[in-house]
Amino acid sequence: MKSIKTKILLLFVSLLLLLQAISFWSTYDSLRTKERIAIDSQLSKAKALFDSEFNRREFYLTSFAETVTNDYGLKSVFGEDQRSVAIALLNHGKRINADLAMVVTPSGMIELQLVNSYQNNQNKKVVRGAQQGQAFGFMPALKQSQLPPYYVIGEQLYQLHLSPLKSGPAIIGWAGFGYEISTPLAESFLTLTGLQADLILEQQNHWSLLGSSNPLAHIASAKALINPTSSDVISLKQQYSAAGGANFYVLLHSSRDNLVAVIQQSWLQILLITILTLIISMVAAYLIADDITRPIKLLVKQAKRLAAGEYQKPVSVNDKTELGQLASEFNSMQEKVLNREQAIKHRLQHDPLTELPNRHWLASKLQDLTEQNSAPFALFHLNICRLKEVNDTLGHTAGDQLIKEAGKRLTALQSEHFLCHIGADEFVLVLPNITRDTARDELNNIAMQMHEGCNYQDMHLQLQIRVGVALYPEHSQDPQILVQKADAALNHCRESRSHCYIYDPSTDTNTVERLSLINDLKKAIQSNQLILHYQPKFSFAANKITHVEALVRWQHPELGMIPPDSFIEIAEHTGQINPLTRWVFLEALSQSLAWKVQGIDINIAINISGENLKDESFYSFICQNIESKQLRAESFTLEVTESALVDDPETAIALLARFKERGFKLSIDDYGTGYSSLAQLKRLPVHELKIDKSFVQKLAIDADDAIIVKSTIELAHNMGLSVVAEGIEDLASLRWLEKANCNLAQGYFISRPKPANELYQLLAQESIEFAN
Amino acid sequence: MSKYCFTLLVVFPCMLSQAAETLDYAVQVNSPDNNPVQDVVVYLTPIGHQLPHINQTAVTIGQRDKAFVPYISVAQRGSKVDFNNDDNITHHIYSAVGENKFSFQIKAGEQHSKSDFNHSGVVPMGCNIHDWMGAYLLLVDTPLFNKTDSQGRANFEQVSAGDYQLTVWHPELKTADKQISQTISIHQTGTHALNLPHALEAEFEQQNPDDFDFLSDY
Repeated sequence: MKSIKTKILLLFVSLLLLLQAISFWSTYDSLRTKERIAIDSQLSKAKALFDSEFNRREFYLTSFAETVTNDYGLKSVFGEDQRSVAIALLNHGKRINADLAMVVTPSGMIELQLVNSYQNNQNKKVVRGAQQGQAFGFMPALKQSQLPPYYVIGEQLYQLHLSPLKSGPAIIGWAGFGYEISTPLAESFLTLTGLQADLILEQQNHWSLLGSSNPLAHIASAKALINPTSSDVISLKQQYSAAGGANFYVLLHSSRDNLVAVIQQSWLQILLITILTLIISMVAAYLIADDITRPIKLLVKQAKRLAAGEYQKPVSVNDKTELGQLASEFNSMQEKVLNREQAIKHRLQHDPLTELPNRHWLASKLQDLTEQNSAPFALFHLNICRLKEVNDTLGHTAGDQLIKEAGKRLTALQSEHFLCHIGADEFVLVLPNITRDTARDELNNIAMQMHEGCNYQDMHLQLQIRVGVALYPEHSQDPQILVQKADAALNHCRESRSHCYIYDPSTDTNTVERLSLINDLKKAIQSNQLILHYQPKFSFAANKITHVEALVRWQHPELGMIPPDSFIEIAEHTGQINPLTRWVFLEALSQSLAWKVQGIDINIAINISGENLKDESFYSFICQNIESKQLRAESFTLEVTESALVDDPETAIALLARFKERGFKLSIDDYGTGYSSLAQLKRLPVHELKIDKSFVQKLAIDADDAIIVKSTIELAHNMGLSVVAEGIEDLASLRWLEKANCNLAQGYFISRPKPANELYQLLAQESIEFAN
Repeated sequence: MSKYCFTLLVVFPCMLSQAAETLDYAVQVNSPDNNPVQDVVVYLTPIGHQLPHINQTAVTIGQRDKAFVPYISVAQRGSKVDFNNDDNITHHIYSAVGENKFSFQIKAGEQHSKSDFNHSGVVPMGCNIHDWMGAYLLLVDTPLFNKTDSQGRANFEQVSAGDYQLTVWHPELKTADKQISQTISIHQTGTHALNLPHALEAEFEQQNPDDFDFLSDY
């Protein structure tokens, strides 16, 4: 990952490197120039020096030769006494330290040639030159005074000047002196210029080394320098022509190392400085980059903390720059986020109407309480009664007012408690240290608190509260289940229309199995897991089975046979009762047809739920199917419970009236357990009453039940309704009911509910005799 | 030698004069571009016969204004040569080459005579004091010698008829021995004309190369 720091560092370093490179290059360039100038100047000085050296020697030789040839003493013996001439020349030669003395006659003969010879013992000795007595090869040039100053004898080279020896105007011969060009000259160049000197002679491609300042030099090494291939050697080559086509080279050279030694020293300095500045600048760049990124890193760290929900620590960046400002903005942001989060948290955990803690708060509170594994506590689930009525009649403002009032009063309870407002009209009160025994007192306290009426716009409203109670740890140790239990208790309150109820597991229908059944039921209807059983009804008058009740059974693939009580209720609460009832009806129709074919004419009773009565298409569905199967409505009885009519009695009664009109038999199921008044009974368009089995089962032994059943039968008959008794389990009860003029009897004593095929025999019987 | 080719023009004015014992003869010397050349030595050496007389005319070589005058002299060997120092300084006259070597000093205004030039040949002379001075004395073996005049003519009187070696000499003549020779027959008066093969080299300048004005006081 390329961090800002790395980027800054990279930028800095690359800039510095660039600068260094530029400065290095310019230094390098100037040094190169300097070096070149130094070398050039050294070489040109050297050249000037040896030019001047040769010129000086030539001038010296010329002057001296002229002086000598003008000497009358020499002239006077010239041509006659060769020995005297030789001695005279030798004498003169010694004065200028000449290495060669020579005389040439006008006829072109070398009359005298004296050379210095260095023998083994290094002693100088004058000997006769090799060319003495031979012809001088360059007469024309000599006569025209154009003899080159370099003269070869064997493999020796001399700088020579011959001057004419005259007798008046006539030239009677030439005499002159020469210096050998050899090692001493090279050595003197070295001393003067600091450059090595090699002196090379070339005659007709024959090379020889005349001398060198370097004692180790040889002709091959010297020759290589004439056309140097290596740039390490700086050399200056000077070429001279000697008489007779020979060439003579002076090579001044120096290896570059020596020449640029001084400059190289400064090179090292420059390199050192460059590396040093590079290191320093990199460290500085690192520090600067670090300085810039440190606050950023702090901010990043802080942002991570914020993301994790840690708002307590502010960022402190001691920086007056933009980053400092950013940090302070960060802090203020952090504060605001904190405030907002607290507001949200408050809103999340509190009800907006009452500002009391809500369900979420409750959940965490209960979690705390249960985790502490502390003392027992009670969970009161409270519900304001008839709030819907208030909302409907006085508007929601009034309802809200009532809810607020309830909240206030509950808050004001004396005992230690936590109050939550968990829904529209529902509160939860957690009361620590409350057990089953003290719960009653607490419930009384609450009732007391609620007793006083409250005013809304000059209206007097009574606050009525239902309370469901669950106890910790008695009912559950799990907070969630505990709440469910309290809820179940409250539900029981509602159903039983009581004001308070402490949870009892036996009454709780809200089990986990129930939840799974909800899902399975849908499938069951579709995949024919349901079957219909029929329980026969015995007609006292006909002394045979004239009616059956269709009862749905659920053959669950995993749970086995599920009793209808469990899943009918589920179907009602989950909106599945409509498809269920329709399925039952269609199944009953088929069965009715089948029996008809078998010659059995029997009335089938079908249980209708309150939900069915709210379904607008239910009536037309029933009628269409009856018609399509060409069955009579009179063959079917619709059994409706009293409670099915509670929600919307008018609509239900109107619908039932239409069924009655169509020809269906209508029956009030479970009569005696509901709250329906006689006035309502009077209005119901039914044909019969079905006395609840709770009254019938102990008929034979319970006198009170007998009285109820007897008077109910009489009441029904008086209202023109027939009566069915269900739950008959013994012959005595059957006999008793026959005596009491009951019309139909149903129960295990007659027959259990069975599949249609098992009932055929019973149904086909023309007459039935019962015996113990 | 064939490369020394030159035109030889001999004029015979009168065939009748052949009978005369002696006669006058002239040699005309011209440069290659036909201009007369002055002060060239011309001498005739008899071939196959003896000349009856000796020309012992004295020759004077003066030293004037630090120069030899004349620059070129010619004489028969053995003749008397007078050196006249007309300058007001001493000269040291010498010749350092050949068989006629000599050397003497001659003071201002004095005369020195020498009669011992017994060998024929060129005597180049100089002054050991004044290097720039120089002159030539040609000693010949014949009485018939002369220098050409401004017309390039060398006249010879009373020349015996016969064959002669004609020699033309000049120190600045660029030939071997600075001379050219040819054989001629003289039988009547006439002029023998010849052209030099080369132009003469610049004559030796008897001048002090340096500014020597202060020496005029000496």
